[in-house]
Amino acid sequence: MSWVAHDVEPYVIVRHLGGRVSFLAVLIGSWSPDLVTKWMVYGVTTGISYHTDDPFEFHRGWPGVGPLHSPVFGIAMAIAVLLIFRSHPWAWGLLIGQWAHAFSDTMDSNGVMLLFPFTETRTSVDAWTYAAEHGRTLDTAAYFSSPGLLWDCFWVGMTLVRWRVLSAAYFRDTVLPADPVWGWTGRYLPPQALLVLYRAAFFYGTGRLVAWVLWAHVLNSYEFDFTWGGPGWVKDLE
Amino acid sequence: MPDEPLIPALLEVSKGHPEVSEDPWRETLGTLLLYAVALLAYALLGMYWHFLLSWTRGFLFAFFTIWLLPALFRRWRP
Repeated sequence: MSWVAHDVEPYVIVRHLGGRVSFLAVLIGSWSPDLVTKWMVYGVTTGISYHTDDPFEFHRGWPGVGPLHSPVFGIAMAIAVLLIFRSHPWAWGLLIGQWAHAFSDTMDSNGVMLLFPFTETRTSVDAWTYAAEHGRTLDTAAYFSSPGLLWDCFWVGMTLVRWRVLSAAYFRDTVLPADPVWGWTGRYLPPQALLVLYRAAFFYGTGRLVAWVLWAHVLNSYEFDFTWGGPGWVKDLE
Repeated sequence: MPDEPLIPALLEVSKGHPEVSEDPWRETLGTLLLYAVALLAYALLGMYWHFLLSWTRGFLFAFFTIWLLPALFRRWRP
């Protein structure tokens, strides 16, 4: 899985596609595969107790919630939004955002069922080790010690190179007019609050990138391993 | 004015706000500094209290730190 990439890819996408897609739709599409499933993968014990016996298969396979990572889910969301709301910027935004998530997640060792429902075979580039089955703490430590960290830094860098996408002028001139949802939100929030909401995913993504790297490598001493398929130390746990 | 198109009205409002300037270079050093300090604070707090690093709490932190606190500060400033 990727972590921060899913938060910041939408800014790069919107910078390239401009007002043809809704930023909010791209962002929701980018988060959609994990939005209601990640807690089941790690397991929760607060209030209700739930965890799956095999997170590796449950998260990306079938039976399980794997189809949410398949491009067919993006197509289904886009068709549903088109039929119900007749909004092309939202339909395209959800589709492109979900596809960005799906293709990003082919980078890990678990892979994604890109051609579901025709085949359940998963496509994996195997650039870093998927470690969710070890729990949230070890998964985090492994990811932010692996080429996954470089992948996240790449997308943060891509956004910073296109820094104008984060500017108030870009928000006002391109993002806001493309999506009536901002207008609706503007009934309740002032413009500067909308701007903060627009920038929040980038803030959140880069903030947690810094936080987890400091936690893994300053507070703790997990070893960096940027070799393909790393980190090797988490494979040794299996 | 329920029949007024909302987005043009919102655009008019946003043009008049100092934080939503015409020129991106005019987004002041103060705004950038605010984001940098808030981001560092969030990262340092999140490093110790991981529960802050969830989606909802991250967004709440961003929202309250970057918008609400400066807004309150402006209101309280003599």
